[in-house]
Amino acid sequence: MATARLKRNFNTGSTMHEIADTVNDYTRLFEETMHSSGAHATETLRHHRYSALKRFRALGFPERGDEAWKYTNVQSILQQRFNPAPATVPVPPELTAIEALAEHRLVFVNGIYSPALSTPPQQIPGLKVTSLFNYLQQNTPDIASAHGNDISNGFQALNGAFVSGGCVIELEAGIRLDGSLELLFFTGDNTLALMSNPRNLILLGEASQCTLIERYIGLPQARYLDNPVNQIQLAQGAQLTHVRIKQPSNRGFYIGHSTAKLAAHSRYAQYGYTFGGLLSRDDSHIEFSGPGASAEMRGLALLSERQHADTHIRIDHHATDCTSRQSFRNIVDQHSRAVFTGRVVIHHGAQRSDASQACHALLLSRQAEADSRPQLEIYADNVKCAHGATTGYLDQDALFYLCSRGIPHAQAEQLLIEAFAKEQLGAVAEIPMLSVYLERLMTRNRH
Amino acid sequence: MLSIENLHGGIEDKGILHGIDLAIEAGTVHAIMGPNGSGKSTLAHILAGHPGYTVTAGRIRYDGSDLLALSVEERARAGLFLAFQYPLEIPGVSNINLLKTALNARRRAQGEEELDALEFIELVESRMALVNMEQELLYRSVNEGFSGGEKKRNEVLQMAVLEPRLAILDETDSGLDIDALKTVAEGVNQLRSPERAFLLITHYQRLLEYIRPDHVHILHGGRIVRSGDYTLAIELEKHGYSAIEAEFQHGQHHA
Repeated sequence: MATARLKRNFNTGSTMHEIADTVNDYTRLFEETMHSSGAHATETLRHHRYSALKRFRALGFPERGDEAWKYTNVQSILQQRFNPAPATVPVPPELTAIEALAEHRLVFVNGIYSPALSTPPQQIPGLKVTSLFNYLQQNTPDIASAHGNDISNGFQALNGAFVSGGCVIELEAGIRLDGSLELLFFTGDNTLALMSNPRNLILLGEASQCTLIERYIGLPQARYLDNPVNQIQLAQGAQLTHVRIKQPSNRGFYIGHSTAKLAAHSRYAQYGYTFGGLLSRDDSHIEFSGPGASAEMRGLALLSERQHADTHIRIDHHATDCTSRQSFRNIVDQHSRAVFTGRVVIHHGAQRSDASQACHALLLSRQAEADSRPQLEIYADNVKCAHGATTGYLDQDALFYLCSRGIPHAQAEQLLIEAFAKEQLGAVAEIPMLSVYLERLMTRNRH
Repeated sequence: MLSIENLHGGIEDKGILHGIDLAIEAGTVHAIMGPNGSGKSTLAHILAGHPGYTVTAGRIRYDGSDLLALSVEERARAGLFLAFQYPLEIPGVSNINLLKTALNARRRAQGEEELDALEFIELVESRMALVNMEQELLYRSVNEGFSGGEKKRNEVLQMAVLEPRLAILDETDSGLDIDALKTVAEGVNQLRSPERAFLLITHYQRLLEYIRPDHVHILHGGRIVRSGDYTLAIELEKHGYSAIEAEFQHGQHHA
């Protein structure tokens, strides 16, 4: 374990009293909205929501002393009350300016699907995209369990109770999609403090393959809570490239939760990019259920001001011969703070597991802070595991080298920062529109 | 072009240079030779403005202005170039990006327009021919995974693209095989011009066989103890530094 702490008052956490008040307020809100949102509240959905509320009341919110939330204090979220968005929301002008990163795009405004803004894929053989509510009407899937006992924290439960929509992407066995699918979540209102609770199911059949771009953009200056949940299932030999771009507003909160269940020989690659946001927390839970599967988790956070981003990964090696790779980079400027926790659990019998995790943080100011916690738990005897973490400032010798070529100091710093960030593009560099977009965000000048 | 007067300095509070006097005219090639620890690299780093080195006394005039008052990048944009003894690897910054950024920074500072992509590529390609460098190296990260010879050639390429007025080559010959040494020397020779001066820092006379200097200086104990023409380098090669040291200590003893 490597932890770099420079200077920060100790996390004060939230009191039980505050948590109980907040939970009660959301319970009241739940009862009110359950009555008013009767339109698409089918029996199944109603059942899911009630059971999620029950979990929510039992779990509450992460409190002081909760190890998984050690460096992230959610008190600022609890001090506010967020409302589900009204069903009819005017399209914010900011939204129309956001370019699409893929030919097919589903747009959600405040967590609610917007058919007018979307260009869903049509008649692509083997691909089925359904709204979550329609899907739940037609299916009683085992994924319903995610509304019950699989829920590990209060935010996930809150999502279940207030679920605002989402989509279900099903890819049939053997289908390989060319190009990418984009899910764009735009959240925020100039007057109301809104919460968005989308839930997406990504179900890939045997040996199918696709690239999914999931993007969260906040209305600048808006106060809101983005609280999405993803459930991903990869059947044997399936391959998913999952790009996740988070651009919360400077007053916006993002709390995301993704689980991925990986069958034998499937491959999951997640590329996560966080740009700004008052407070963001992203949990990913990967489970290897069959042998020979692999997961590559890459991430980058670019923070300044008083922004805070927390990435929390848990990877469970339940099967033999699986490979997990984690590579994260955090760039923190001014008073910002980045937290990385990567936990790998190699369960009994998961022989020949191969796990590595690396987190590198670049501090751009003396007040910025980066915490890296690579964690390994190993219950099998024939495994290969490695972890490493570094935290440091810009390389002064490299700066001197660049300046000695006549490059102004600020520009030399910028070059080095971009270089550090762009290493995290990985295979995404091969996706034309997307890589251009990300590079532009990475080259945004400081201050 | 460059005049160094009574320069004292070193790393942090460790004094290494104890009174250097040196004048370099445009169009000339000067060589500074000396044993390890004599202060050769310290002098190069002070000229380039490395923040880890301090000047405690003396002054350096460059084109009539106070060189020590200029920042690292200002010195470079005024035409000073240091070819590093140990060129840095900079992962993620491509060689071509470095060249382009540096060249355009200099052009902007001189009130010239930036080169467009085509003009730039043509310039770089013509300069690459000088140092016989593989095109592929342009698109790799700066010096990352380069061989010793490739790194040194890359330094000379940067020099050829940036066209400095005063080029300081800090042990550019170290770690080079004879073919690479010839290539690098040829590259330097083609850049010689009446407006440009060179300061070659080297241990060995070998480099000077290929780049014939006008003046040779021997640095010892942080001072220039002897200056002469090319024959001084030959003498040094024949008798070694120890003879010079003995002579110097002897001379000092009697002073």
